[in-house]
Amino acid sequence: MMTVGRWRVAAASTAGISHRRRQMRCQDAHAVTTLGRWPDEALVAAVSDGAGSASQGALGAKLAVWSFIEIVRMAHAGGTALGRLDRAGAERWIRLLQRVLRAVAEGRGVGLEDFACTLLGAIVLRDRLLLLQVGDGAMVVSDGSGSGWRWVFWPQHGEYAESTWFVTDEGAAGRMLFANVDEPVEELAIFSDGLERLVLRDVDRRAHDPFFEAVFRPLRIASAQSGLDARLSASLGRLLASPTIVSRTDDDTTLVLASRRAVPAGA
Amino acid sequence: MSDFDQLPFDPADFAENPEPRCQCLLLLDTSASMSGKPLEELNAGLVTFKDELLADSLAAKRVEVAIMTFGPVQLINDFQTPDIFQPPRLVSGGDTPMGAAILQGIDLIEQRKARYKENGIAYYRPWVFMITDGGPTDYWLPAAAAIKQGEAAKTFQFFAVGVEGADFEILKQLSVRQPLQLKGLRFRDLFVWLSNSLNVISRSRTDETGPLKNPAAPEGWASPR
Repeated sequence: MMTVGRWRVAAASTAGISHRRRQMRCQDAHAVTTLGRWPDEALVAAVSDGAGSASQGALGAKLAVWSFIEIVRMAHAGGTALGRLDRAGAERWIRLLQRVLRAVAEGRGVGLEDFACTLLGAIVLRDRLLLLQVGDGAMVVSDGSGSGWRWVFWPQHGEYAESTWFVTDEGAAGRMLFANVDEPVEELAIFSDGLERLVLRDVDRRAHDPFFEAVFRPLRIASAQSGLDARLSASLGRLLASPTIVSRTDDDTTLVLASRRAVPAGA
Repeated sequence: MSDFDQLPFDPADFAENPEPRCQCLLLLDTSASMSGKPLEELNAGLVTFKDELLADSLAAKRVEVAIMTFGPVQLINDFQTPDIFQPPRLVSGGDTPMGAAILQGIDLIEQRKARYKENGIAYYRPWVFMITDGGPTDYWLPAAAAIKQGEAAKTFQFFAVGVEGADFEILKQLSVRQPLQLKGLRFRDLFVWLSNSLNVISRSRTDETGPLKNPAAPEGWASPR
């Protein structure tokens, strides 16, 4: 078993220039928490991209990531062994999440489709990895062995580049991609559709390792404090809004980076 | 380096992917009745179209334009990005074999999609944009069926624009979407609108057609028929 440090997380969502130009807000959202105590500390993270075609996609995305975190937290608090979650259990979570969103939608006099958004959810346990996904964007992991970064699910697009599926769709539970694998994960990155083309290679369908190696550097030497690092997250937000990224994508971007690599001595 | 915003990123740190493509097929009526002013304005509109597409950095890399004229049916420009696309000087010819042009156009789109797939290039749902000042002089029912089928299967989106004198009764039977009538000879306005719409599409997600401007609005270039 690998030696693990505490989970350190940096996360940011930034409005793309095409949205800023049209005075639209960022429709991406993310949420992160940790459950339990080190060394059995679990990381729970979610990213959602609200549909531009939905009237309240931005709110839908926020509700989706918060609801996901709460559902996992409640299951954990209720004594559910997260590591034993199966597909049927994950589908129940999706339907529960839809009920939460539908209730809020009804309270606002709109329909569930007005909250249309994607969902990428990850739970990393001591030696297991659980992922669920509806729609585009992707999650990549590294076991710290130097063998590079790997994705579990390729982004869900239809025939056309502009098409995807939403967690608010009627058939979302059935269409959800789900994995619960016996795999030690040292680092995890989750990103929305806006970053896909910068960090995944279509030609050989691989994660672009140099990007992840570069972007994880600050977290690897971050303080041993668990959870979301506000200062680093603000810095990550500035990176996403900088010409380095904005010259390569004009979409909203979200990046969640989580590392439990043991902090080198003297750092 | 302790902060993200000070990381020394190298261009090689980012993946290089081919741009996703957005096909736009123009089916243009060059029958004898278009000769003179209408065709002059259409030709000028095509020049504007290229300029407008080039002015948007993403559209310049993603939109591919093809032009097929009728009559007779002729492929004038195969699919090309705006930097390579040379606006043609169209000349007027014979009758109006609209049905044949539509069927050949749909075939052209499918061939192009197959090339994208072979090369691992992502693509958007194609647009077919037909402009006419008359009505088909050939058997057009197969074309109408192909359009209905293509729209239902989301293979492409088909738009019909009629210039003064067009047979709108037949255009309505051909196109699933409501045909539009060009106000006067406002081809330039039409192509500015088309370019703007393609700019939106080439950076959009599912049915994000909200930001498209209604061409039939009072200040637009069209009136609904």
